[in-house]
Amino acid sequence: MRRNLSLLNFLPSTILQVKDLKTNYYTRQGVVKAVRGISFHVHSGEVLGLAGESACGKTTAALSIMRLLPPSARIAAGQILFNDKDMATMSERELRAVRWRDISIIFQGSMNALNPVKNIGEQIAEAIRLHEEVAQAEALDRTRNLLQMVGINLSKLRSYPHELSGGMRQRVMIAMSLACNPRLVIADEPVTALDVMVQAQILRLINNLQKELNLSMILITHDLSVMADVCNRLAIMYAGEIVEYGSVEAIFEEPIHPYTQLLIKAFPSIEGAASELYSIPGSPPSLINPPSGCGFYPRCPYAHDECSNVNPPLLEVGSGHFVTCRTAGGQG
Amino acid sequence: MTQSGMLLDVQDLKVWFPARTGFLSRNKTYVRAVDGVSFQVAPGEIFCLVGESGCGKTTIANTLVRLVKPTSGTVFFNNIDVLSLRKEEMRKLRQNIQMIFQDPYESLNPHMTIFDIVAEPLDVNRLVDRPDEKDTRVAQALEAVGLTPAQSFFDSYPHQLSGGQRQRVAIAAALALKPALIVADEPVSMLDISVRAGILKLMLALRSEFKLTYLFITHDLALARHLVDRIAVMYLGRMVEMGDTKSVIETPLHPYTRSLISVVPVPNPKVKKQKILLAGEIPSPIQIPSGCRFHTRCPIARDICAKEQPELQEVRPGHYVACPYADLQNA
Repeated sequence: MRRNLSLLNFLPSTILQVKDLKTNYYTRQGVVKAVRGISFHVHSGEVLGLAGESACGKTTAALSIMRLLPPSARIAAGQILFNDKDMATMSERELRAVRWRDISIIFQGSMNALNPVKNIGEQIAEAIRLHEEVAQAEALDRTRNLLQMVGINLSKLRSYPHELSGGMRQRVMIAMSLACNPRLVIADEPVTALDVMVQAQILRLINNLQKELNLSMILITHDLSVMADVCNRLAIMYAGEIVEYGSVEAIFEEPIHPYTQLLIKAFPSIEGAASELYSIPGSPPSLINPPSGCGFYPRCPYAHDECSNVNPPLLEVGSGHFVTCRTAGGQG
Repeated sequence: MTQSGMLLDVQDLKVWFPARTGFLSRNKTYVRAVDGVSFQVAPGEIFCLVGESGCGKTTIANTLVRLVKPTSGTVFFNNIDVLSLRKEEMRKLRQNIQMIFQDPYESLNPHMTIFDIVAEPLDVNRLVDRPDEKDTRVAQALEAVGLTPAQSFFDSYPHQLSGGQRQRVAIAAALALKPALIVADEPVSMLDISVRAGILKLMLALRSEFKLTYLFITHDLALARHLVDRIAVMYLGRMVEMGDTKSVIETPLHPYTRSLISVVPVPNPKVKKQKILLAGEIPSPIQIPSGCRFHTRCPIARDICAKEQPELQEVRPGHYVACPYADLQNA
């Protein structure tokens, strides 16, 4: 017993735990069940990847955690435990204490996320002063440090977003996300719109900062090759659910869910010989009337009859490796 | 005029756009988007222009169909001098060169049915007289791109289709005129990965079926690796390297190509590549560096690189590189 307890000390502590989260959008066409009961946790100091194609619910999951959902969306069920408090039920006032100071977010389009009529120095200082009671001079001092940390020359302190390149703006977004020393940073497609070289620069910056500051991160992207580079663990989402979840090595080397297998195959690699390109026929189901069984059933090459009415929960198949699919297990 | 046997022959193409500097500025400055590019595309080939944004790859595509007027240079298509054609002759030529654009959410008119979208190029070029002939041609085009049964798509509108289906419609509209060359500008970068390969495989199948030639434009080297026959890498309006896909990807010679390939992420956590990260960003095409325009970021630059602009040299059969010092580091 005692040995077990001391072992626990070496296990990474959990910083965020999401339990059975369900988020709906209420539209004129009906209720879109964008996130359909997902559970995961983030260890402190690790990078967890949320991967999936458009409309799989990954951004909605991020916005739910930050409680930044648009008015048409609501968290229908589930818990978001951060520091033993449930963010899903927090009041707006309580949230203000958590947002940015404990959890911050790097948004997808840096051009739209930054204020076009304020220079970047002011914007970062404003973010600091909104969340902490500090004088303008101190906020500006911290802003200078932040800009240096993300590799922006201080001569750009008074620049406006339109004067900066896409890569620079993304650096500003990263500086802003770190303004209040958060413990968890959610990065939603941080490099998607950038050129390959700039993408590599920004990824290296994120990687270095994450290690230096021992940040916990959730990285959201559709690009599995970026995930392989940066993440410790990976959750694969499809049609609002996590279908497979585990270490990056397990997911890439022994993918079990047919969707994960096909998705990895669909990514062209610049390494190795030229090979055939793979696609997944069909398209994801409507989330207004999601199928009662497995969401991937209509596109799955291994589907059985029962897949159309049974939707199994995640089951642990290896150490820390979870998968929903029960039928395709060995057919990798 | 040369009888080269090439479908497309571009020589020393320059496209400069005048840049507005100041209200009273006398010095005229130019954005040198394309600054001396030559290449040839053989019939049936998939030729790929690769580069980061602003390198001039889309400007080249637009020049080929004369959506943009070049500053100098020549473009021969099937031994016809494209740049000297009159308007009516150009319209005829455009039947032979069709474009597929990046964003199928914007390139299809939302007010038109799928039938009208695919039939429009036939109408514009007055290629069909009878309605039943039009029906047949549209149905053939839709079936060729895998939208079957074609009739069930006739009355649909673009918003009723998925992104992949929309791109298929765009390809069908391009195919309706039975072109010889298709210029595809990032045709899959807006699509989800699971449908991308479907579109690319379709393009490959159509090549063999209709003997098509493609000029393929992309920033995605990993994708080009698996699809195209030859690659030309562009930097700031010029080609720095050109050759067979295998040769360029596996043994890149130019320092820019080497760096670009090294930073492409690999979907395999076991592969830990040595990344050659370039510092800074691409200089403005208004103030292009002297000499070799890559020298400001080049890891192997020498003093002379700031003075002399290197030309493409054939260093292996069919493999050209615009760097006199390139072979020194690839031993």
